[in-house]
Amino acid sequence: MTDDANDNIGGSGYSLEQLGDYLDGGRTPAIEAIEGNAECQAVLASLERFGSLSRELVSRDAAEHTEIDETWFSSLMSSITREVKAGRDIPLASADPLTTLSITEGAIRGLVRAAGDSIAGVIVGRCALTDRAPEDNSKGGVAVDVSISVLLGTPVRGAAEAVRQAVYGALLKHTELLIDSVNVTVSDVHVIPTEGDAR
Amino acid sequence: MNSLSQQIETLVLEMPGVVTVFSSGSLVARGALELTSGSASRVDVTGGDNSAYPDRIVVSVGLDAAAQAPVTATAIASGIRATLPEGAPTEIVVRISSVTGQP
Repeated sequence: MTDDANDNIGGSGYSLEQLGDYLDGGRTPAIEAIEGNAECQAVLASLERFGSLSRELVSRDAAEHTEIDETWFSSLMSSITREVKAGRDIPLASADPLTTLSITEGAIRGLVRAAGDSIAGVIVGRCALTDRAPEDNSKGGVAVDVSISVLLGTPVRGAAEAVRQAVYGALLKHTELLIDSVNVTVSDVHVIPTEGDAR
Repeated sequence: MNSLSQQIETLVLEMPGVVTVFSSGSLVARGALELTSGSASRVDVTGGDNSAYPDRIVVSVGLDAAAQAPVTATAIASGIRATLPEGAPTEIVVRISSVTGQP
């Protein structure tokens, strides 16, 4: 992740930090360069989903001195800003030869991230779409690889399966991709003690 | 074609499932267009200066996850086509740039 990518999200001229400030300010007054930019909107959506949990993590970390990897947040933000880039146009079928319909790769990655984040106790770390050739025990199509962080106490296997199903369902609903596989890797576990914990 | 682009933007924004319309071109190009023509439309309408229809219409949209993207994209294209003279050979490009909300 280069500094340039974080400093100029989607060519808007606004940095990740400025988008965070804009969100904190209630998105008012509205800034056209942000509101009219798909990549800025995707970053803002991720920041909104992530915001409440990150505040809780930080406050509990400070209060209870639990160990949270300092690079985790910046790594997550780097993944988000990289993945929101529009990328390729993935075609959608059209019966009209003069009409071209598509959904951007960035929109699909955003869908995957939102589907994963919708599962309780889960934050999506990275997601990647990879074209697969119809060989090597593969039917071809697209392989979706998702890494997630699971809050301690959340059943890991169940969370991973729920993410897999949510991602698969979202892709079936919004794309016409041939899904080869949805692979979920639990790469982090974070601690958020509840008030009832004796820790 | 500025009025047409604004008309299409309004039409698209009123369609079920559409949350927003994004700028299709670069911000610099759009800024220049606003300065020279006063148009603030995010829909890119090109060509057709000497005819009754444009050569190409490009619209980039953000959708609500409650709406199925392929179905909504088709509806948007059909809606745009309906604003053109019958048989107009205008190329219509509908790009879904974001899908937000709970899938």
